Amino acid sequence: MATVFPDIIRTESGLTPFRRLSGEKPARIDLYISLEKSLPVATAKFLWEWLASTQTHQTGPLNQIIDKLDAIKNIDICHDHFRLTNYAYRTAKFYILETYAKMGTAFPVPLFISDGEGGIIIKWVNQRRTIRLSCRAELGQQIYLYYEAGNDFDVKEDITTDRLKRHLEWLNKA
Amino acid sequence: MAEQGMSKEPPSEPLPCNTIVYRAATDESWLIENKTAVDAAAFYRRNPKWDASGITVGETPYAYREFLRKPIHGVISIHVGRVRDIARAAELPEGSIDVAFDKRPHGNIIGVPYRDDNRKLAERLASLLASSAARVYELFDPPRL
Repeated sequence: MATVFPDIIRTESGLTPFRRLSGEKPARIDLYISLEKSLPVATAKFLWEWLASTQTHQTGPLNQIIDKLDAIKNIDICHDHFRLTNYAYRTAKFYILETYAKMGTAFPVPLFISDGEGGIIIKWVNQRRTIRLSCRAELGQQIYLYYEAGNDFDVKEDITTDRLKRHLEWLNKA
Repeated sequence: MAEQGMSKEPPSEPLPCNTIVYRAATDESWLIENKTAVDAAAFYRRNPKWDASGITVGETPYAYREFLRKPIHGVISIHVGRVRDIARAAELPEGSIDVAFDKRPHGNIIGVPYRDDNRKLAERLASLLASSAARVYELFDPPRL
């Protein structure tokens, strides 16, 4: 099989996802490397060839989560105002990719729930603990996180990926 | 749910606590745990274009057909007495969360703020309504009107 070089995409925190499509059925491997500087092309090619020599098809937990989000974005829904906006989709994907990069497989598997206004709720539940990250439909609407454990509950705004990570670690301790 | 050409009716006696009202599950993701439970998102009060008077409910399981023109994923039943109990659980004044009809069979859960007006209370009430007062009444697979 011929090696197909992936797109190399820099993200805000300096993480570089590699995407590979191989075979007849699309497959994807995402590799995250912390970088201080841009990744030299030669290094990228070396890494990619190394990846290509390993498995040709993997379905990791991150892929499954993103696939689920993509499916919601593409679903044919009955009520137009429920349709996930591009802004909400990108917001949700950003939080998932960036926080997963910090937590690895400790990142808990979320549910995706429509807020009925074009936004999406990323929801995590572990026993009595619940976290809902509200990815709103439009720029200018406040993104916020709600957490709940019995009668203990609160809302947090200005959600950074570090802050989300801390809340997910709290969730994992239930 | 958009209200279509409805005028308000005069205030009536409070509904008996054992009254059941119904809400359309307009999005499949509102039905969780293999569609045996209702998610809090079913009880967000959406912007005034849709939820000016409160969170829409119907007097009968299929009353939504009076207000909606597109298929839904199921029907959620809501116990009025348990809705009232939520005010106490949320440490709100008695009667601040209730169910009332404005134009039968259309009614509203009243007293729930918009998320952008009071996020913490709106989220808490949505959680309590979903977990304490709501049940999956009927599923539609495929969705239908």
